[in-house]
Amino acid sequence: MAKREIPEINAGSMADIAFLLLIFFLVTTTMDKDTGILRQMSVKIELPPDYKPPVVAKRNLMKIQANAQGQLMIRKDIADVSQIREKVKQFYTTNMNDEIDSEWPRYNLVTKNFCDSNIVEIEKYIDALGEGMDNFVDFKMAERKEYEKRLNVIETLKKPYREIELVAAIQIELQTRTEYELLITILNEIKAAINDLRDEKAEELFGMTYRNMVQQGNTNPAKEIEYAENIQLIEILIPERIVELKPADKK
Amino acid sequence: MSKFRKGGKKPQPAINTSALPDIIFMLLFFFMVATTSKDIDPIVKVKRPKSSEATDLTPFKQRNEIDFVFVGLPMKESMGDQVRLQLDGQFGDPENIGAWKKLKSEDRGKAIETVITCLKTDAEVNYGYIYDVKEALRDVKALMIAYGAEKGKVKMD
Repeated sequence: MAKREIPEINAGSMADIAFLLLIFFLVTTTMDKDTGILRQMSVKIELPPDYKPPVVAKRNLMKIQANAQGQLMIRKDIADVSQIREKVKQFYTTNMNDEIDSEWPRYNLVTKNFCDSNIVEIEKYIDALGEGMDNFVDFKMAERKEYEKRLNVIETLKKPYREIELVAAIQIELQTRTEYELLITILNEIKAAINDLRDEKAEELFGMTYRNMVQQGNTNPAKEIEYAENIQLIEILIPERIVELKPADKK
Repeated sequence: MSKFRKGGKKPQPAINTSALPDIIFMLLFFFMVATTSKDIDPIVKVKRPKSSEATDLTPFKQRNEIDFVFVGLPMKESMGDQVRLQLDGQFGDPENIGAWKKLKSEDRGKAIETVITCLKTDAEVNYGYIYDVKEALRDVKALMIAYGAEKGKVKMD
């Protein structure tokens, strides 16, 4: 048989097909990325009748208040959004290395003994609790886990470390008519300050910024596992405790 | 000189379009990668505020493992001028969100605590409303939330 030449396929309509697909994807998808500020809310628990909430000294709180007109107060001083970052850093770093100012949270040395004795105490407490306090047991177990994490940190660092007082927290108090945008701006500034501090710490310990580790972990599952431990360590050294309070004018 | 005037008027050569499909395919792939599928049409208006510290929620923590709630004014004026929630395709109020979350977690077969609720809220919604939504979520132990915000530079005024 004579060799027949294969006729060339007409690819002229290929572009049309591709166009069709392109337009389909343009119509059915959206461009906006899903981004947001992650927050963990606290559990609602029933407290045992004899439970006394710990007294929190003034130095341990940093209250940021904002009203419906968008005016701001930090620790009862009228302030500006742009001051939040600096104030949060001050809150964390003033006594970080040395006891300097009693107006700001203290740092305590966390040792292995301290963690161990706390764990023992929590276990005793749980054993002593009566029936029907399951919620509270969970709460205590979570507390226990925190101490276990600290033990890990001591093990990794091979020495006790200084940690900000356990009750030190940043509080946000808004009013019912405060706009959502202001909440986001405030949270953004607080997060930015904490992330800056974490960056510094991570740079010092691992030679790589915290933001960088988190970001690489987000795009690459293998990296996420690799950095998980480092990230957890940094998050314990510089804890993020932000509490959103009930709106000031809410009944 | 006659050398250059050979043939007189020549017909214009056709433009080679064989590379056109390649270009279109390139565009197509770009859009496939850069966008996410739109599964619900919004029924409330949401203009998201900006935040430079916003975390990317989508990467490989899959999109379908997050419950999206839109908070804002209804798009159609006939639906009232009060801030409402959009739970999937329907309007809702803070009182409904607990039941809705429970239903979602049953459908998914995952514990309610492990699923992030993303509140995509309009920048002008009052905090009081958000607070009500949050309390309703706390009641059903859906404790992980994300405040929807666009990644970008925050303007300070």
